[in-house]
Amino acid sequence: MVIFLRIELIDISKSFGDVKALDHVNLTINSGEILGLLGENGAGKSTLMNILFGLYRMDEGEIRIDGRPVRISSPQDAISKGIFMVHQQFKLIPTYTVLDNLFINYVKGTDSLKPRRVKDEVRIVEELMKSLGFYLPLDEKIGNLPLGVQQRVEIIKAFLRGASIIILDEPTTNLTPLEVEELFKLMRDLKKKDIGFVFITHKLREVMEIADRVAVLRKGRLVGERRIHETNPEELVEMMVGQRIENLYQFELKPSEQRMEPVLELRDVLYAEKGILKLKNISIRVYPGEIYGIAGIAGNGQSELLNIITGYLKPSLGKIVFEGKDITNTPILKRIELGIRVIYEDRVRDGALPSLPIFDNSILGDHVFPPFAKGKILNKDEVSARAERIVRIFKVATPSIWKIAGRLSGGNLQKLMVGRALDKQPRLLVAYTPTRGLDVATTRFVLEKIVEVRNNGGAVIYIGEDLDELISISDRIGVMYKGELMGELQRKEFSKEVIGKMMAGYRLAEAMSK
Amino acid sequence: MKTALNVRVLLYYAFALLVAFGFMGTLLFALGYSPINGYATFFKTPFMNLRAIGLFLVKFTSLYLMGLAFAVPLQARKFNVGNEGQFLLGAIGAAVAGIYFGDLPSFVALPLGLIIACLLGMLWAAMPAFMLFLFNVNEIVSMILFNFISFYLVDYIALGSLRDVFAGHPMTIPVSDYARIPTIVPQTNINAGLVIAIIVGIAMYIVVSRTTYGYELRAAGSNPIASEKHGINVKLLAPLSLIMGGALAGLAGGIEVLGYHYRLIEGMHGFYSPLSIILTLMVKGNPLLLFLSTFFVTLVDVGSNALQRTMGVPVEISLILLGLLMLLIMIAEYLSERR
Amino acid sequence: MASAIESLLFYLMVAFVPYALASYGIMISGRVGLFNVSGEGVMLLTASAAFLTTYKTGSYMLGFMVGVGLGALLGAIFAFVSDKLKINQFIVGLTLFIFATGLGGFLYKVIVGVVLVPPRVQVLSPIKIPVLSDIPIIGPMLFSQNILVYITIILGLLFHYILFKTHFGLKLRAVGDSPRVADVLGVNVGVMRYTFGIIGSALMGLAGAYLPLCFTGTFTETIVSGRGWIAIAITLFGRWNPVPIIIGSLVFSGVEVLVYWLQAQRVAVPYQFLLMLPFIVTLLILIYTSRRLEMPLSIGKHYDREAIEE
Repeated sequence: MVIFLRIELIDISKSFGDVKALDHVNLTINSGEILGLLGENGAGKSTLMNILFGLYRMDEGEIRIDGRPVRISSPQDAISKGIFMVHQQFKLIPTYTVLDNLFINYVKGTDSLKPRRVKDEVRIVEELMKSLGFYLPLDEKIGNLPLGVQQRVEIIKAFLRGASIIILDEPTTNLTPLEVEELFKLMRDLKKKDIGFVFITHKLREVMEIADRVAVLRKGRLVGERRIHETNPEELVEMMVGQRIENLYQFELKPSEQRMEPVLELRDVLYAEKGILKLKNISIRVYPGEIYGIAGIAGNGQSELLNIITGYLKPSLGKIVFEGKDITNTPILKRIELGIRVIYEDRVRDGALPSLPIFDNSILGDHVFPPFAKGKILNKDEVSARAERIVRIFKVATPSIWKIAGRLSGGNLQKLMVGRALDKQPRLLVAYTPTRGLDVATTRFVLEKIVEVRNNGGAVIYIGEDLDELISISDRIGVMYKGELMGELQRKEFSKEVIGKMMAGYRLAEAMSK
Repeated sequence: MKTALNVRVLLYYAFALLVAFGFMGTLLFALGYSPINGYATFFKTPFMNLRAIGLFLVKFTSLYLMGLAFAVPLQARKFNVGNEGQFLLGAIGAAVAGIYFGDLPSFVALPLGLIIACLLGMLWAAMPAFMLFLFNVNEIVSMILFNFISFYLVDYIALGSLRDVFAGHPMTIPVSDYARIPTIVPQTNINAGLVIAIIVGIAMYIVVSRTTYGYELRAAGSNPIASEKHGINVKLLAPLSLIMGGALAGLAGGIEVLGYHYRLIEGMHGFYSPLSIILTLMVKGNPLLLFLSTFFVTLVDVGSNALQRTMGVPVEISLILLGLLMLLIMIAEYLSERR
Repeated sequence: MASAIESLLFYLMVAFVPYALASYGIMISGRVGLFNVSGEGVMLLTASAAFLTTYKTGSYMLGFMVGVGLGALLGAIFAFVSDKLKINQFIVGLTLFIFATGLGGFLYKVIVGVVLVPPRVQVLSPIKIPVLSDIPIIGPMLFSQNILVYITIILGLLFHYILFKTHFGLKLRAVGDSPRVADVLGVNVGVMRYTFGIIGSALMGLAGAYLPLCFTGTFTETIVSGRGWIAIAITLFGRWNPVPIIIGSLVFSGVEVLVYWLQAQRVAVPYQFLLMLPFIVTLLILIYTSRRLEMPLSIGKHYDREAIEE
């Protein structure tokens, strides 16, 4: 039995330092309905829901449930009132089993010191799974399960704690198109049982497909609310971005000249780690002046591919050839010297030196080469010049190059990372979701810069998660699934349906027939 | 490297100093000593006469090098708590070399002694460093274990075949005259070791902030994963930085033996380890500011020893004072960053 | 009259207590994410304070209480400075180690001063369990010990039960493995960390108080002689679990017994090298076990609820 809830968020405001994240936002959420919360990155959608879920504290405003004002000061409070949130990064401990993850803090008080009754717990979960219509391996460690299954664990967790309203924060990021369909089906089934959903996303198409109502946030303000059948994608984009962006995804791609020698060639690359095959039969050729897009759900070998190209990992079998030279065993720094530049998927973990200023960050990877170093001595003037250049051209918001990088906002840090990769025209650029966490204007800017690399004769490998983005800038697209290339498509063959099927494991020929 | 010189920060530091010294005075008072006498003895004794100043500078030299030994690996976020053992191994090396090679002319014996001191310090650091590199052993735990082993080693040598049987405390016979570091101010014990230490300090500053090696150290300390992905061999660099620290601490031991004691004495390391750790942490390992903090901590060490000699206050008061000061500085840092 | 073997085994159990208690302390503190390396200093301070208290008042209870209390106080400072002020836990631990070491030596010198004959207290007497303690060879070792030996063993089993067989334990471990997950599911991470940070340090304090009151009967500045650091090693290769910690502690007390026995046998090895033995053994075990090191996943890290995850 699900309790029907009506939640009102009234005049919610919140600032982080002097950045106003939310400005007097008003919103209503009901059980038995799917509310889409739409907005670009940084618009405040997650912040708003984190306040409702008790993780953040609001500066001003009020929350009412069924007309009565309530105080939610911790996730515990929110859960006890029937509100549950599934974050983009799942709140699961990878080394614990599914069962353990479900029951953390389930039993409270002195009862928690009594011996644990695992059999009873299993019984409860199995009943729940039956009523929801899917199955989870309770003894398996979370870390071994695919992300789609992990998401289901989160949903069962919500039910276990008696949720009436479930907030999903960007739930489709790591799902194949098929899994997205399954999620939507589940949501519709649950809606019939009076569960309410808040579906946070920046993807228009999904909102149009699944939501009953949609609310649009822009720069912390509520721009408007519509019933889905009373609006259309163009209007929503305008609300999201504040202007009609024509040709959002249209770029001027200079026609490719006739095929020359490939800049990069991977020949039958195979990579295994701890006995598990991560890459298999990878054979790719990338030519100068082209963007080779790589589509696929995260975790299907893209990281390994990137690391093999940079030299951080060595292939177990196969060869890597760069401009005619075998670089399979060449160290990382040498590859950077040859002109291979990288934009990593996780800027904080893989690219930035958080405790050091922008000055030092600007030469990571180039720090041993002229002009930044003469022999073993650093040339401070040249380093300063580069740092200033990156800050200026890529519009990194900072008062000086001595600001500690860790204090920059996510978007600004990303701009710094992109700037560092592109400061010198690369011969080969490998970019892994370089636009993650950036607002539309900056996304456009970064994509333009990458297209510029291509137009100036450089080769680009673009690993992306947004199909629209990939389709708009790639000359060719390869699709990865479980470490293998399912196939390659030329620009004129691009089709979301075909690519979607390949992302789910169909090879090119199969995906194209039907 | 730039440091944020902020009036507010300085005020907080000054406040921390006041509170710490105030606590010391209160403690003295509570135990029946006169705080005024205490402060006077504390601050005056180190500079009372030329001999006292000499002793001060000797300790300064050792503490400064020990501080550097901790500060350089700190850039890579490695805690060289083994500098105590490395110091003692350096002392052992210098003493043994100074005794056995004492017949060689000065310009060979002395540098030989110092070089052996550095090498033994490096060796003592290399063992835990390799344990870290090859077997992933936590260096804080392993280095402290090596420290303990070094105490017993010193004891063994000081009571062994080189033992000075006329001395009341375990120590070796003196090193030969040829192996001694010359004094720079005659009739005092102010020796050229001080000059060596200053030169080394400046060299370390240049290495850390201006060379690619120093850059890689700092990058590794800031984000080892990103550094590895950009071609920096963090796995090798971190242990190497510890070995460099070993050379510095070993040098300190060698200088103190060949420049001051002229022999290996059991217990000569005194409180050098905790003192050097605190003096480095106080300035976050900045090799230039290290000069100032070393001065201050040397003062505390010499002053506390004076307090024990003349007023009977246990010398441990230096550790209480500095430990408390360090905690107050941490609070001060937190408060100053909140604005 | 106890035979030589019985004496050695008896001594084995007496000596294992400080290692085990200190290791439990580091373990439970680490299990909520606080890696507290100040043990050696805490133990010295509480050894000194507990000894002085019992010496002056004649009460063992009071001595132990002072030891536990001081340990708890230092644990609270550790938790506060690490979590609230967000300072690197190794730095906090080293600082407290230095402070406590100084304070411990200071207190003893001030109260006892320089005397020809150092003061002593009677070591806590064993409690004989009837019948069982008469079993040959293992009788006295297991059933005729001072109360803290029994407490230590029971504590180990209790910790094992709580950590792995109850929901409370699941909750506790979650705080150390992922405070964010625990927080979202309603666990009061702050309270858990403070509580078990304090309990952990209190256990280290108890270990320190044990040394003069149940082991040597006197206090010297070298009374701890590395046990605080060895306890960290024991916890590391005991994988932060109470039962392996008991075994590890027995190994170390075994080495202590061995050194004692070798010295009595007047072996040809110089005594300094015998004294190095425990440390060398620790190093060797660390080499063997550190390759696949297990630690609570979020140990040493701060937790900030409002920190934005990327």
